[in-house]
Amino acid sequence: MAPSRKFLIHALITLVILGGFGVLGAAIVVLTGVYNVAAIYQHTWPVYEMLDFALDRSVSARLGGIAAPPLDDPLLAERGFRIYRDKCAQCHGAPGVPPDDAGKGMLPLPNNLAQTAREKSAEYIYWVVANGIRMTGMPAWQYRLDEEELWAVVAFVERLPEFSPKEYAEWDRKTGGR
Amino acid sequence: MGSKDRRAIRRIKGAGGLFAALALLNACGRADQPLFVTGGDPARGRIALQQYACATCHIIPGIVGAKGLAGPPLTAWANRIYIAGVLPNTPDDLVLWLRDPQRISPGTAMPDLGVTEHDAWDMAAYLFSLK
Repeated sequence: MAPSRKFLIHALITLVILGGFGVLGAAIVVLTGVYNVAAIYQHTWPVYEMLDFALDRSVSARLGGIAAPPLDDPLLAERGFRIYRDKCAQCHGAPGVPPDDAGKGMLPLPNNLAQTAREKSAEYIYWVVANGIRMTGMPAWQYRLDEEELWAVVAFVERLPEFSPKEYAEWDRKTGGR
Repeated sequence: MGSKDRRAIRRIKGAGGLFAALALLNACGRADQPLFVTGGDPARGRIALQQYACATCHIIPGIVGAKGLAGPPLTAWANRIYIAGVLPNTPDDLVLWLRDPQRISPGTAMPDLGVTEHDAWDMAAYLFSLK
């Protein structure tokens, strides 16, 4: 039996009223400024988890057509190391090396990329380096680094979990230091 | 140098870290640092644990997004016996560690994050509230 016309009209009115309350609630939250945007206060737990999950889904949905070239060339990793030291370590730090003050003061905090290397694919890391992540402080690098340099950074990040602080410092010395 | 510092040095020597103890003596020579003998502010400490990027590498209960696996989880901190496997876990030793991990355990992956003494006491107050 199909629902009656009267039922459909009532359901529609109910949805419109509920939607109105939603818009009103959102307007009150925005207009009163009750949600704190200070970088010393983290999102509430449900907001953080939802944004973090949405970020991961968004990047994962855009990896079609990206195929990592061979990344095990030591010269490529060494090239990536120089770029990492000059452009990434300021916010992400490195084994035994702290991030600079700007990186420490950010929210969300820049990830420890040794952990990222364990958890994400090379293609995923490439996408984030090339495109950046809006509103997180992660810049897009595709207009600053060429294709080979982008993959060199990925090649180095992929090797980060194998680095002891001592070995990182040795590479730093070997390649000219700061 | 206070008796607390001397106690901490004795403990480090006991752990075999002569180099670390010498480094610590050097640290004690800084007379311009204010001394906080009372406990810190745990609410301020919770924010400081974000602001020194601790949350990047450690799981810290009560801090949203602190899921780092590079360092050990800081769960049940008040019940932990050792700091970094080197110092006995007391508030004053924790402050020493937070301020200068590379001197106390040379070569540790934990970098020197430039923690001030005041902020270190606040962090210690928060961490020791975790049972």
